Amino acid sequence: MSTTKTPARKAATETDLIARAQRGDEEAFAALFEAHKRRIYSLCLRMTSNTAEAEDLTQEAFLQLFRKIATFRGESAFSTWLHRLAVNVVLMHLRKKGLQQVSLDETDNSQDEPVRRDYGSEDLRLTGSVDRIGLQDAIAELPPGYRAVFVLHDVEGYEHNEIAEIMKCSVGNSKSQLHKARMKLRERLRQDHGGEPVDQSMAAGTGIADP
Amino acid sequence: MAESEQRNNPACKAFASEVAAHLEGEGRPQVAEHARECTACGAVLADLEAIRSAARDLPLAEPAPALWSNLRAKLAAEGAFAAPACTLFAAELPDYLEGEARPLVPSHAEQCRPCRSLLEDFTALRRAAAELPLEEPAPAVWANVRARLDAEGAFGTPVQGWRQILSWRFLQHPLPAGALAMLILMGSALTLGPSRLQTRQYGSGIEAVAMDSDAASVFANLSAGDQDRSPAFVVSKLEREFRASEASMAPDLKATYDKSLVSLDDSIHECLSSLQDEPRNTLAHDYLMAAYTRKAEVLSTALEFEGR
Repeated sequence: MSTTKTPARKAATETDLIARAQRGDEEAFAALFEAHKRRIYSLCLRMTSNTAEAEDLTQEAFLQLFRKIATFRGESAFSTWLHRLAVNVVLMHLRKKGLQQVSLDETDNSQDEPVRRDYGSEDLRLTGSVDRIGLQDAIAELPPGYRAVFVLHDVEGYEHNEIAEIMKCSVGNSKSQLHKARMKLRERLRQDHGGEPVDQSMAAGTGIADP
Repeated sequence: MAESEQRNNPACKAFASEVAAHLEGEGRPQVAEHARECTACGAVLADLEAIRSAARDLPLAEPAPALWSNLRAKLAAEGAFAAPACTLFAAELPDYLEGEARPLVPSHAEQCRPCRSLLEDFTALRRAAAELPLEEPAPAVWANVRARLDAEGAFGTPVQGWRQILSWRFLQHPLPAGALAMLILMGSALTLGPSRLQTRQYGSGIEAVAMDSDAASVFANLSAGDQDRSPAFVVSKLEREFRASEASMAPDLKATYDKSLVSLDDSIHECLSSLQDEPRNTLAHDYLMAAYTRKAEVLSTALEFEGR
């Protein structure tokens, strides 16, 4: 007899757990926590790059979840509802830490370090593979605003319009921040691969001659 | 003409006020005419014209070689020297990666090696990011959540029926399992007749032993070792163990457990007060047993967690 659950059976099981949790069933609470803890914790950890903060925020997210679970009506998937709640918890925490840290205002250039434009320069490939540990370390080194957008988009799969709504910025700004985040990650990962910094004087095919 | 006379001469005064405009080419013919008539003013005009001419003929200075190198490097960093096609590629790339139709991106990437590298790297980044593994939180996270929710009374009504009392987790700790057995025995004894209550302060908790009249005589004849099996004593013993180890507990976790225990002690005290007034109040009796059970469970959970 197969022990794997079909998606329909999984949803039915989770629906039952949610209903029981809404009635104060501790075992149902525990089961929901067990089912979703890794995704929520991973989100918190990648957004903050700090284990202690991530644990605190995970706790806070689940506490808020269980306090509000009676208001869950099933209009969206439970995991989506929980995930959005956790994102708001993290962003609120980051904003409390420093108002400028996650600002995505159009005119905010505080996170803009000179991002080298490698177009037209030498081949700077990441050799086709991205080391997972290196990527996690590189994400942790991103400025908070870049990190937030990159994690939400490329790691968690949010669309730009959703990110814009969550972070109260424009879609264009979200796209711009994501692009800058990817450029910085690429540069950082190239250094891990032993790539040399780009020699600006060797821009090929530009027709600019030295005097 | 003496200088003092020149200063007071109206024509010279007019010359002085107009000569600057004349040198700017603003059409002051009277300036040149007066310069021809007045030797002093003519000398002034000649000198000013010579200075202007010399200034225009000053040689140009040569900047240091580093000036161009620095300027070129900064312009290159800003992408000023990128080929137009690469610039357009860069502008279209984010939307292409979002799945929007941008035919220029793949077509340019076929022809331009650096831009193709960029596209491949971004694609690899996205794939790796989406495949990052999930992280496991520490066990303390759930312990803290559970303790907080328990303290807030989130977990439904008091235990009813043996099925919920006999949860597997509770029975994993031997001491609460023994306490449960004693609670069952005591529960049976208490229903036999009028109850007599005895309360005494013990340590930081309130310990109470509920006894019925027939059982009271039995307990009166109990040896000290037998009295150790009363539910209150068992819970008290668990609490002593908890207090002995609480110094090593995280402050916020300890605070959460303390809050739960205070709430349970309040329930126990209330039940005992009710039973003192109404010894045959079976509901108060049931709630008292449930409160002892719950307190034993909380303490055993705390001790179990501390033992990890």
